[in-house]
Amino acid sequence: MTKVAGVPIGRRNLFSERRRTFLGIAGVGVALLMVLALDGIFAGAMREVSRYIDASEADFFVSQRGVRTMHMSSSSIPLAAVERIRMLPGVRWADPILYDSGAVTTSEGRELTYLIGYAPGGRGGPAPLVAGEEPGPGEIVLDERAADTLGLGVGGRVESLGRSWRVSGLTTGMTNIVNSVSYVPFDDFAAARGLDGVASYVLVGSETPADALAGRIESATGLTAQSRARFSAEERQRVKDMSTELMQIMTFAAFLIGLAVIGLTLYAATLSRLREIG
Amino acid sequence: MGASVPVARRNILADRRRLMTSVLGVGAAVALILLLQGLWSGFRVQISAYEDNVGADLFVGEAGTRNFFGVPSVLPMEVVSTVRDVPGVQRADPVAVRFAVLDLHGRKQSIFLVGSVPQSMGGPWELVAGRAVRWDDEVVMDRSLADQHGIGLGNRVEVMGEPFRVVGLSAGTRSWMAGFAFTTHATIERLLSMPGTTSFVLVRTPEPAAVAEAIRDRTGLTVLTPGELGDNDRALLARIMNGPIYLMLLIAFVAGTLIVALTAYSAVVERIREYGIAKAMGARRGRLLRVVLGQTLIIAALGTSTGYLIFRGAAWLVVSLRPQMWVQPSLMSVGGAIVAAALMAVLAAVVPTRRIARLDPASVYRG
Repeated sequence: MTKVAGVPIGRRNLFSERRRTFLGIAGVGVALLMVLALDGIFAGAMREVSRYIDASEADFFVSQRGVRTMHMSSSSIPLAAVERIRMLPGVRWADPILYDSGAVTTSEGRELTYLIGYAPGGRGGPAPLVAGEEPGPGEIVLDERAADTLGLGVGGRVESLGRSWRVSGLTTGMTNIVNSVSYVPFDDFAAARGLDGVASYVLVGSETPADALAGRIESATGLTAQSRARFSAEERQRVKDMSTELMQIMTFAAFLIGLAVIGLTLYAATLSRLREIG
Repeated sequence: MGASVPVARRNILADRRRLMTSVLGVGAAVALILLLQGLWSGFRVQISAYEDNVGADLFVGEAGTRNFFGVPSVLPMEVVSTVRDVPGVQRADPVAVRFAVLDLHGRKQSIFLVGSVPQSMGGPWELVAGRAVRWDDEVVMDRSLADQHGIGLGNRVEVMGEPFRVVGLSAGTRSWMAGFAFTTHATIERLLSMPGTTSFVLVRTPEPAAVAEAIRDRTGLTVLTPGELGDNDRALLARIMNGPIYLMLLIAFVAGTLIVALTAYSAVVERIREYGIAKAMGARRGRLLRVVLGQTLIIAALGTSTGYLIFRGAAWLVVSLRPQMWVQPSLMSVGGAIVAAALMAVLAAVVPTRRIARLDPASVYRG
């Protein structure tokens, strides 16, 4: 049987008028861009929102019972629980942090921030430091982008938690679309907020990062314990759940626009060759 | 004087199917622009729902406080009695507020947890079912949030690890970002392990300006009117959301422009011989360009009208299916959409007019 090469009529028709084809392709591309851009914004937000968790040395995060996230969340646990966790088999170390949303302010401006109170030298602090050093009493470490916006460097002063702080160091990669992360000593944070004997979360390092340890921590303390991966996934899920409705609206609008563009392009191409088709 | 021939209108109306597809496409883009602006306006109204409706004339917060959302204010409870002693203060009540995340049927729902003293200011302003909270294990939830998750009066929900009984449902207390849940002040103090503290003192007074000054002098704290607090929250929100919103508006605008351009260009290509003949007969370039612009303007005008109708339908659908989303169209946003459509028409005319400008009149006689 002899194979006859077919004439690519569809392709030829479509490309006979290149400007029109370009407009059609651009139209579909823009309709897709609408969904992709929004998806990209939320994907970026999801990645950024869990950056503190992902960059942590901790294998497990322990929080108030029923609290599974950090962003837009509050958690409060007794410091006594830290000792109980340290005693558990399989636990290498356990360090408490305090956490709250807030702002850092100078005469130049104001930047929203998550404030982390940690024991300098312990876990939960800034990593890596790109300038300066860990915070001593009355000192704060800012993200370099937030510091830049405020026109600050090491040695500058900011207001936060109702008091003044000296900038002792700068970290990087902790600024997102909403805010940044700043670090102060645990005791200063507790004093500024009038907190006594409580932490927000406990970071736990394990000898072997087995999920069973989370169960042991929960049984021993009555708190919620999650592996770093689980905690990070819960955080991302919160952003995802927030974005679902908007994504549905944008996807439907993009579908309509894309449909109209494709319809117009093909209709015009077919119409121009109607005599030949007939 | 002879009547001129409406070439643009005739050209564009010659193929009604194509016109309809084009008008629908432009309509979808215009509707999207209106919907995004409407959602954004609605969100800006929702963000200050608490300040606007709770019934306080002044909010007293930690020194330096600017926002009700996002940046917590922490005050010692003693401040409440200090404020009550200020002349002109009719009523002063504490309110403790914090974000929390609920796990509802596998979905994470952010809520704004508000704790007030029973029988005082700070609770829900529109109860649509049940009653206000009296005891520490009770909560009033936003009705749409409760409906969405099949929660009714008497049901139990877990908030920060503790079970609460739903005793009331409120209306107008939800936004896209978070819904409100109201409980007692003591509950928030306990949940946050911050006994003896509050977030704001709500003040009712017939002389807000004088009383605000007096409270500032006596306490050194920040005193804001609901309007100031709402404006600050809107500014905070705008800082976060303006970028993505404007990006979406720009993309919708570009999509609309491309659809108008595509339609006008197809109409021009189809009649390219006629344009050539007109050129050969001495039609000036300006006249031909006006014909193209006329076509794009007709599409844009019809598309805008259609877009408005699509927008009304879409807004109704969005609000019906997702009551947490408010769509607040404004005259300014409609005006903006009309201007955007006119701009689309002008920009869309560029490609077809270039085609006509380059057209050699002799070419149409060659075959």
